[in-house]
Amino acid sequence: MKRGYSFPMVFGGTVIAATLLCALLAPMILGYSDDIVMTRSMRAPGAEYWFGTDNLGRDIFVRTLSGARNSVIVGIGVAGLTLLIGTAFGLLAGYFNRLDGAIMRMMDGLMAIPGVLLAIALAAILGSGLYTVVIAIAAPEIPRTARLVRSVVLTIREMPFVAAAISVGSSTPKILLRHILPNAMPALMVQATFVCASAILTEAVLSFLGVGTSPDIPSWGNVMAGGRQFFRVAPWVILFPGIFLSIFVLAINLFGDALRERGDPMLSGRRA
Amino acid sequence: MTAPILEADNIVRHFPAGASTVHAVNGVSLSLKAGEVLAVVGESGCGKSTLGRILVALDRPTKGAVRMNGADLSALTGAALRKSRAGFQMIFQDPGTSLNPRWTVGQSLREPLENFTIGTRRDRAERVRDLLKRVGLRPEFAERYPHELSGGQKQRVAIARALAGSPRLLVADEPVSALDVSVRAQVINLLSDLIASGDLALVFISHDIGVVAHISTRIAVMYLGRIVEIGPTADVLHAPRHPYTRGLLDAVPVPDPEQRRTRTPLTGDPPSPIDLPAGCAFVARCPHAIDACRASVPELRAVSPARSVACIRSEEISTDEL
Amino acid sequence: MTDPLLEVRDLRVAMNSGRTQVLRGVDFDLAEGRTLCLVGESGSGKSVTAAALMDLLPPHARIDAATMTLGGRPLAGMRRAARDMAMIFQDPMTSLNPVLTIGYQLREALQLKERVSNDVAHARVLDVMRQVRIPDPATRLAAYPHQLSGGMRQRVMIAMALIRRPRLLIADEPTTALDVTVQAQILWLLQELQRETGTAILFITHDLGVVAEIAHDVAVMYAGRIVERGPVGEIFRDPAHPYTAGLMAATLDHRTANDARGERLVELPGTVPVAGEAIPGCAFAPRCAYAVAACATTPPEWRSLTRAHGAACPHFRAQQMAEGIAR
Repeated sequence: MKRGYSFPMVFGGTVIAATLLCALLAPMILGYSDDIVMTRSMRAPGAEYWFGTDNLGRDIFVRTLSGARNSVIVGIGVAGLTLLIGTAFGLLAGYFNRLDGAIMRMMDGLMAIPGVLLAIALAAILGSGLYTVVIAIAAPEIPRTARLVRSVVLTIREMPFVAAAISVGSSTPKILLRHILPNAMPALMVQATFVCASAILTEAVLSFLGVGTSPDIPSWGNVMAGGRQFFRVAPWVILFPGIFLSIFVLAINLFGDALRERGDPMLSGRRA
Repeated sequence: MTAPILEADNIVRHFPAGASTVHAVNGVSLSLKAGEVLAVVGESGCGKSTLGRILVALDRPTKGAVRMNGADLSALTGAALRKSRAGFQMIFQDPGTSLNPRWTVGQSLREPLENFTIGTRRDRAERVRDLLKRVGLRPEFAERYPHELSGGQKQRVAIARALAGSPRLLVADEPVSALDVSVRAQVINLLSDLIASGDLALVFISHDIGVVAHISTRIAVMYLGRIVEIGPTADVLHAPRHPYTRGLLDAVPVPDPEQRRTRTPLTGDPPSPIDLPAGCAFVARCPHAIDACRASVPELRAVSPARSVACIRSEEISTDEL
Repeated sequence: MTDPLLEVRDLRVAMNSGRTQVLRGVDFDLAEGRTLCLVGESGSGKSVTAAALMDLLPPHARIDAATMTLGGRPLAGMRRAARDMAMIFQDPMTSLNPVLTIGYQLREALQLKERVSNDVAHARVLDVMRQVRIPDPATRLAAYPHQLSGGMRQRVMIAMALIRRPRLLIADEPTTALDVTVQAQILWLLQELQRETGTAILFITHDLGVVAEIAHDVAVMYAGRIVERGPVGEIFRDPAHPYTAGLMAATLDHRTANDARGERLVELPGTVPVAGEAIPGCAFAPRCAYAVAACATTPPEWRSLTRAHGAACPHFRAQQMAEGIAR
């Protein structure tokens, strides 16, 4: 087990914190000043516009920073939704043998739906928007989390402390929520980071395909999508949000790996 | 004549394992009075742990009944069963995993107090301190997490938790096997003190015959889900009447290099509880087996008032000849 | 008197690139045809000693020894395969490959060491399986590990160790995971094999009953050091270290333990120290009823009782004698 802070943890943590700060503060500082100003379209990066401008004259620096906000919302939203629903199903399937079969077959069904098609369908029904995207990305992720939670619960429920809790008269809800769930948390947190990272990437893909968020709400994905046609003349439109996206996703994954490697001091041997 | 605290009546427990069945316990009856320590000994797969779990209602028997102070446990469900659990508690083998690693010792000790509604919210802290004191731990241990404790200390906490509901029956499943030799004595002494001080009965499940000899008043020897011999500890150890008991005792290493074993050890392995042999389960390893042994399962018969043996040849073969 | 087969002097091992000292100077000898039991509890360093001899320690471990020789050849720097020793472990299931047959694994163990044809190898495999008393060896060759019982698997492990005809067999708690009747069979087998082959056995255990059964000599370890060493009879009759005496008191003899029912067992207070703790004096001092002030600060002197028997405690004996005179 590792103690102290490793490089991936510090790097990952710093990048995540900085991005969250951007996501929170960018709208306040910049005030969404990414207005369409045709007179300054397609400017190369320079002193005036650090990251250049796009075909409609919007400042890529401003759009990249404000894009962080929506990408982070998608990431956290998907991770949260997935974890909430996936954990509930996983806990029930793992603890109650009778529910296991039914829940897991349902999860298998859900897993078979392609995320991109679901996004297109949902966009058609609900209209495109941030929440549609979050639901569309979360749906196929839920079974994966449920599966993980189920396997963790199957291990934990065989631990003698669960039998001991039954023996001292604890009710089933208490055992699930106070004994099993807290001990599954470390695995869940690691899973959350991976879901978050992959959701941000998926959102970019969906936006690139034109079924993500609409271009007037910038996200890293749709800023890049907007620059697709002009890639040869204005590569910066794709380059800068692309770099931010890659670094952020890398940071989250590093952080998740570091969390996993760090292990859990509670579950290791005696410190004495 | 005091009434028994625990009575088990023809307990059978089978587990489905794919297409076949694991015959873990195949008809065990026993009864236990306050102040008694019944040791259940036997090798892996003999069903002693499954029996222990059934006695404290952590598992339900396929057939048979467990009565606690005369009340049938199988008749209880839900909240009634949860409340009745205060009367019978289990101590597990590995203290490292029998405490929730994310709970402080105090939280673990408060759990039974809350569930069994013992004391008021306010005086529970006091009761936790009392419990810790009973197992020889200082009050500040209430604030510690299991990973800050040694194995022996964790096992004391587990015993304190079991005592919280003032049980009449404790079932200890290999409570010292996971502990270092030098700290075992602490836990054994603690259990002996509990028995000496109260109206408690203890079922002590172990493969360690030395510890069993020290702590128990009676011994039940199990083989393949059945009791093959049961009786007062001294009698069973000094004059075994079942050939398996003899083989088991002969196999126990004696901590005295000048008295090395001269008898050849029992051959073969304990058989699998999946395919039960017809007749006596021990027949394949028994040096005294005759054809009649394969015919039917030998009954556990009284050979003296306190002593029973499940061997059809127990009358013809004396202890010395075994 | 011939030279001992295995000679170890001042063996020190530190884990985590030298930060955690787990062996703090271990000395012992082991002669051909003899069995030395290393006795100790968790964290005593008994398994680390074996791993150091076998070169099985992780890369971050630092090994230092004044002498560490097998048959006069220094072990330091020697390839693992060239070391004339073999080891068996507590859990044979994890040491056997579950997807390969017993026969294949035995043949491989032999052919990694010696260049022999498949026919010769096959014959040697059958020989060694007979040697460890595996019934019906020809059919067992095709069995996979999970098809065998725990005792049979441990026999296969012993066969795998013996097929290379090692001069030293290291057995690390080989019977701890086994049932007592099977343990008796394995202990008996090891003694028979030693009589037949003359191999030296380094037997690691925490169970004094097993020690009494199998050892010629005993070395008691505590917190990375040998605290007492001597022939098995002398150690049991006349322990010279308070820790050895404590272990003896905690080991119950099933033949006599019930006579003393109701009496309290002698308790060693406290717990074993955590590996890597800095220990200026005697590691056992905090738990010792015989400790004097100096014990906590200065390393204990080694006192020899007889030519082969000695202990790292100058006080225990003196106090026992004083008590004897007073009585």
